[in-house]
Amino acid sequence: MHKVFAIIHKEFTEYFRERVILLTYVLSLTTLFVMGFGMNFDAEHVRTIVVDNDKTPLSMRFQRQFYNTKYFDSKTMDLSFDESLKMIKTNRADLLVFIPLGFERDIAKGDAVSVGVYIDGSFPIMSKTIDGYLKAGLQQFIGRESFIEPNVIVEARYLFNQSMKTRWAIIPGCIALVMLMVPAIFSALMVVKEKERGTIFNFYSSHLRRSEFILGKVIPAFISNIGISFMMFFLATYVFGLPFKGSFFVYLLASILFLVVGIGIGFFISVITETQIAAIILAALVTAIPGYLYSGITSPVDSMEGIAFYIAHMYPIMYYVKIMYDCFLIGDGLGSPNIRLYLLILGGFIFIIYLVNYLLLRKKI
Amino acid sequence: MIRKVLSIIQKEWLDLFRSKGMMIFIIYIFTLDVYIAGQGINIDAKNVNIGIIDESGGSVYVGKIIAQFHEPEFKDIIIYKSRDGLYDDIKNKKIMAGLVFPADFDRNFADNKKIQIQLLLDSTVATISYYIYVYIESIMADFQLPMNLNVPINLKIHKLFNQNASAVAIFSLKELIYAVTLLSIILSAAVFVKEKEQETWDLMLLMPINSNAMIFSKIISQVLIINFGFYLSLGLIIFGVFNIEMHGSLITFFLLTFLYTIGVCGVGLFIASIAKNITQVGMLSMMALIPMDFLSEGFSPLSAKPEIIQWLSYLSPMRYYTIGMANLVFRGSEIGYLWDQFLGILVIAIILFAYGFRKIGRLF
Repeated sequence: MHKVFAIIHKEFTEYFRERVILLTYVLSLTTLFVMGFGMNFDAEHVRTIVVDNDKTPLSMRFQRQFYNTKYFDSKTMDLSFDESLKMIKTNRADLLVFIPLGFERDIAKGDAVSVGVYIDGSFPIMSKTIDGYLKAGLQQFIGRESFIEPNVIVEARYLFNQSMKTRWAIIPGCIALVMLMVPAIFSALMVVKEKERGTIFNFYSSHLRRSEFILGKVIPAFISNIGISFMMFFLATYVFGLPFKGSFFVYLLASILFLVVGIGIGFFISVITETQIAAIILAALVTAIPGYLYSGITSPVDSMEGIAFYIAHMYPIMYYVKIMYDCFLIGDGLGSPNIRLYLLILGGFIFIIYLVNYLLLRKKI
Repeated sequence: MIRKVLSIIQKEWLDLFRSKGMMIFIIYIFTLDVYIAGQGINIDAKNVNIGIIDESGGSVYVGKIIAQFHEPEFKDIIIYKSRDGLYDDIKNKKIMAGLVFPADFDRNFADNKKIQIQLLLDSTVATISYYIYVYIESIMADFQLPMNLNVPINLKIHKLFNQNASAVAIFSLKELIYAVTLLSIILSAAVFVKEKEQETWDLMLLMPINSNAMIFSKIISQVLIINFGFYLSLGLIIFGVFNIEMHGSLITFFLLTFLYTIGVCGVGLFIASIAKNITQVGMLSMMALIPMDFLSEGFSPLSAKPEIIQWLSYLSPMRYYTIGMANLVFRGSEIGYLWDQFLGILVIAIILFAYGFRKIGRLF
């Protein structure tokens, strides 16, 4: 055991010499802040141009749908079709609404009227959301003008997040991403660094067993990184104002397991790469991007299709994200069989990753 | 002079080609990785399992409404007896939404009285739950129509450049931009820090070439590799596999990319001047990359982000590149409307390089 302590001591000396621990925490902090404040899927302030060819009281009232809302920043302009299309093509507008000539007259006669709407489709998430706003707005308008009184009203209730704050929905995913990415990058250099510097031969030629080497590397990385999960907890609850409905015990347990998984992934990368640069790039790629895709921040894993669905299930972040949602928003804790299963799965990941690491780590020349 | 520059480029390439692992990664990043990103995401409300509670006890109308929930948007329709069961299954992610039809549905509907249907949504799947809501609203609206008159107004919605609102183009291109940026920062920082770590820095100083030319040729060697990877990815994956239509000029896109990679290498140069080892390069690169990424157009336009983010985004070279990319690929803007993107990247590149040249040059 004292051999393990010797490595741990050596690792910590290097950490402090290279100031990596400080960088790790600054990186976690920036990531959460930038994602938490910068990410927004609500379509707000959509730059809208309304072209009213009718200019009647009814068309004016129709125009009003686009004013005094946080969704649209509207301007009414007298433009030809080509001119206004050019506004979208040159990225000066996101949405065009064309009210045709004879709008009021035709409606009075009972004829159907088509209002032309053009959305910049470059951002599919936004264009779908605008699509929804418009349809809802039209319903409202029709109701107010009482062409048809809608009788059946859908009253939507968002569970766990009554006022549907985007931040509440995003932060748990962001925490998971930080908890995967940062430890993996941190530990991706653990072994490959020694390979490049040649100090790995100290291990090859010593009595040190493989398991002792792994422990000696993983324990200091774990101690240096576990603080991130506490930091994330405080930032989420105090800075971003999320509720915390679950138990802290579950939060901590899941975070510990997930951190060990993250370090294991970093260790794996470190064992299979030959240069530090390759290790860093690989770590950034296999954690940041799949981590983002499968964290459920943009799209829930449950509605994925085909290969993506299976890859998502083979990737540990999904399970951790679900536990995070439970801890912050739902609050079932260990009472829910799913949470117990997810914790168990995370444990399974640890077993597999470290088994692979153990087998791959060879004392070779 | 040119011969000296060329020989340094040759040396850096040799270094890269010798490392088989590195070559495989670079090819992987530009091909498979971009492919996975384009495939992996589905932003539609698809395969949604929905729960129903029918308190009306088998109303004809409710049956008609339920019949509207079909593929591809909806998958399983599960009937519940109690709200508790429905609530629990939303929690356990068995269903994403639940609808509660009130008692007396038939009678109230026939009497033209107001009826409230409750829709319970899982907020942890933010965007999708909103789409479900909109979708169900429109089902309800359609359901009421034949009973009354025709709706006098219909919206003819055209989603320009992307009628089906498919996410493949934006996700794969965004991934490509991410890869280009990541590699530009890390590779350009690494060519310098590597020399510090391998203690070949002194050898470099002894070379009969001035420091600025040395820095320039090291950077350009990486820029060329990255641009080559970019062409590969664009040809093979973006245009090849995904068949994404390019509305603007390809040459302008290449030009913008070339300028952008040089500009971002300026960030790498900056990192190289403060990092002592590759570990620090890695951490600092991510620290630069993530804010740059979020201070640019991602999956929503900048105008939808908070105002402070919009202002800060002027500092991020990625802002100009992502806007330029969307303008060129999707909107097909002419070059005359792109000058501000070119200018933005140019100014940032000049500042970063001026700093980097001085700082790294001093180490010579």
